[in-house]
Amino acid sequence: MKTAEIEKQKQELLEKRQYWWWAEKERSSRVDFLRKALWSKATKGSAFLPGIKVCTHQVKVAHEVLQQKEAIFEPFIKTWAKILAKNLATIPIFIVDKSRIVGYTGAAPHMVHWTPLASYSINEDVYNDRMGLVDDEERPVLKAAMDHIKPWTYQTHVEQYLTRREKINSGMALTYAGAHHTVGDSYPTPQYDWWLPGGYTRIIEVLEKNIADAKKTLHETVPNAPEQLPLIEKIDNWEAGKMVLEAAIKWARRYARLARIIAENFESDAQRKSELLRIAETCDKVPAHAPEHFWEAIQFDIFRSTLEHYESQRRAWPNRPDNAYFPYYKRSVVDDKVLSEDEALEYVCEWQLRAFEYGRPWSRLWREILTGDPGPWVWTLGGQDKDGNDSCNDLTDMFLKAARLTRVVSPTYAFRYHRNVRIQTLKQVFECIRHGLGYPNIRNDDVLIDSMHYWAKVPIEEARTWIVQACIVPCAGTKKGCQPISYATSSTIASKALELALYNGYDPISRMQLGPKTGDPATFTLFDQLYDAFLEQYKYFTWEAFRVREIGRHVEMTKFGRPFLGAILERCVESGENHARSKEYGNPWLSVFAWMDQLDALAAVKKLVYEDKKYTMAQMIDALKANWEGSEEMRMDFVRAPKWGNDDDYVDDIVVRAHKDVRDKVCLPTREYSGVPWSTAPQNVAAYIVASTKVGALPNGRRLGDTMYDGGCSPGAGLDKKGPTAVLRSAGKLDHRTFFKANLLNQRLSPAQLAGDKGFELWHSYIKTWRDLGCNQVQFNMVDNETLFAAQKEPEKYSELIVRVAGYSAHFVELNKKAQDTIIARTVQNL
Amino acid sequence: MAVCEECKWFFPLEDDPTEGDCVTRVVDPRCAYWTAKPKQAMDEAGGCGNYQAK
Repeated sequence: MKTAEIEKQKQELLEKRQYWWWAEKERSSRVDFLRKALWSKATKGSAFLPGIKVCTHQVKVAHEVLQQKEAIFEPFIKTWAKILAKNLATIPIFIVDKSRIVGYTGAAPHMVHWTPLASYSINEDVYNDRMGLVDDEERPVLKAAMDHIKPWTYQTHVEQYLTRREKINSGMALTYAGAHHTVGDSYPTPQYDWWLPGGYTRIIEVLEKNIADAKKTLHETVPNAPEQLPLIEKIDNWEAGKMVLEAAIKWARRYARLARIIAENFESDAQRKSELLRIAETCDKVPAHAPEHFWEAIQFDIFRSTLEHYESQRRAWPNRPDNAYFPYYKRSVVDDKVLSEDEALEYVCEWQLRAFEYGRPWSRLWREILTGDPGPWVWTLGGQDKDGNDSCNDLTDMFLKAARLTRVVSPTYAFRYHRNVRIQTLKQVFECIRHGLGYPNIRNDDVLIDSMHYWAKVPIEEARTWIVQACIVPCAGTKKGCQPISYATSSTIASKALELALYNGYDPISRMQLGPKTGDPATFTLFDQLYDAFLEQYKYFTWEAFRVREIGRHVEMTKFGRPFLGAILERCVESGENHARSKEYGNPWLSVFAWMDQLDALAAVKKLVYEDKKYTMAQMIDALKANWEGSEEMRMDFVRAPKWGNDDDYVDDIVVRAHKDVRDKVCLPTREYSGVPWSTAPQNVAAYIVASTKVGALPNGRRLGDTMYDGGCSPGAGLDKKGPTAVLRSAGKLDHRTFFKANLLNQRLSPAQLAGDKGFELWHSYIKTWRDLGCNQVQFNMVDNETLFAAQKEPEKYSELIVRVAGYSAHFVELNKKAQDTIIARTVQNL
Repeated sequence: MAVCEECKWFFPLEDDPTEGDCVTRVVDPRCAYWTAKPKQAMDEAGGCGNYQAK
């Protein structure tokens, strides 16, 4: 087909807003090939897509190593290092046709990597899968491995310290979901300036010197136990780190060897042969040594991330690639001109595709909570440098262009917006949103920098380096700021607090006394009594979730130090402490799911029961117990009561009060290991769907089974009646610097209204209002219902249609129908 | 009994020919790729579906 005709078709697709088909025509043939070659590890509900298998290699390796006699007496960090090293040495590796970046966690592209040392519950979930994830002929070997490994798992070690109540609550996931010992995952923030400048070889040299000096002190100097004995653990940590780094270098060079073998024996195409030889050269060099060129830096990033994934089930992927890797881009594209911009764009596209193909076999619960996304891998773009100057650069723009071409849902981007952000980049951000990617989500840079200083006294210069650590919480990317611990694995099902308050601590779903007895609400004569009961219930299970997580940290400190992570964090190599023992500034938070529903409910009770006295508390509770059956008129009164998101002080004052009290009475009195208070991060991912059966009928009018509200400070679907500015004004009444670490706001915009050149101006004006009101986060869906309904009817034609679910995006057709319908139901805002 | 080092798909390590990789081509429903699986030169290859004598 002639070029002019193709351009005409592309233009028509843009005008029809059929961006997924435009992307297919616009991207290069290589990127198109690689995009279609991907195996998505996203789940539909809790099921992986057909053809996905779990990679059992590391399970078998772990079983073998744990049967060796050394495993009984050596420090576990060394055993873990041996497992990783053996896995890297023996797992099959592969190079996909036309790819130029290599490295994956798994023996084949269609496999998800299984780390068996974290959670035996996940191990059992995987083993018991009957949807084709596990091959039946492997089951006997896997069963034997799992039985042997179970006492070694992180979960087993943590549970010995938990009370019966804590174990039950962790498992039931009614008040808090995803207690860390049940998922055992991680998302450490990277310290680029430690491993990029010299590669792993330089770190190995430092480790070797530390080990030699320590052994000399331990074995050859005057006996001095207080100084010498602590060196024993440090030597173990350093030796384990060295073992894994050496194994990582050898593993990378296996790819170099494979690339050469293919080039010399099987590949006849001269260009492909040349590409394979470059792959070989690159993998011989990184991660052993510092990268010099852009493609080497990308390869380093993938190798490092892959190994983090091998070490610990990765749950998020903090990365700030435009900032960290711009010097390499500049050298290759601008200074040395060894790479054209188009070639660099192809590499960035492939980088995104390599990231997207990662997956892990989670628990069923979390597969549902993150349905449609193998990640989320939230990468951070834009922002400021440590001196407060705009960080946006040409690589920032390139990531945004590449996102529109590859249309993957992970990595998804958080864009750090500030007053001085360059307009050309902001227009690229808007184009991504207009193309319906649902990302970047927009972050208020100044608010979040101040917030980091408020919660953990992070110096402002260091706070400016922040990277999104999981979905929305910022973390400094410096030696003292890098966070090695994932805190918010636990996430509260927050609206349980009001439900428990309404039943004196009794949970009608599980029919158990889950909370303290805060009084029979039928006897409450004042609204404040109900409010206090709600806060007490919320504090009770939130504090339990905090404590359970910190017990997990103790186990990480004493037993589960991570050999690789400890080597790629400078302060750990310096001090000899493992990743969990070494203190950072501190960045603890608990994600808060299903939060706002109960605050609307409180407002409705205040109005209808305590002020208007239209219903008694007893009448209302009877109706809730019956799931509103036979009380539809009453239910509609509660639906019509004042609702958040309409700039109505009646309800907004209650919301502000609740946030303030959570900060002052639930968070600030606590201390996490690093000595800073815990905080919260209201958001939802797809928990608003999962929680629909965990929380019963509430006085905001919801019934058991109705989905919850979909964001941290988002209004309920269809309940925001006064337009987008009213939503922002409500959200702006919260103090986004001090009430929480981050708070998620979903907004749905009209594609028709934001078409053309004026669309950007309209959107930018909205963003400025959002910024001036001090809100910290906003994310957008921009897709019309007509397209969504069409995709429901013919999903095969819309495989790359993306929607924003909550803290992440998903391919619409990979969501189940309930999730799809909730997105369709969201209010479309006209700006 | 055939052993891996006799197979055309076996590539010994340059510095230790007793070890090497079995390099094969795989075409799955989505993509095609070359894969390398570490093997010992003297591993039995009789039951291997990929075995092809050099």
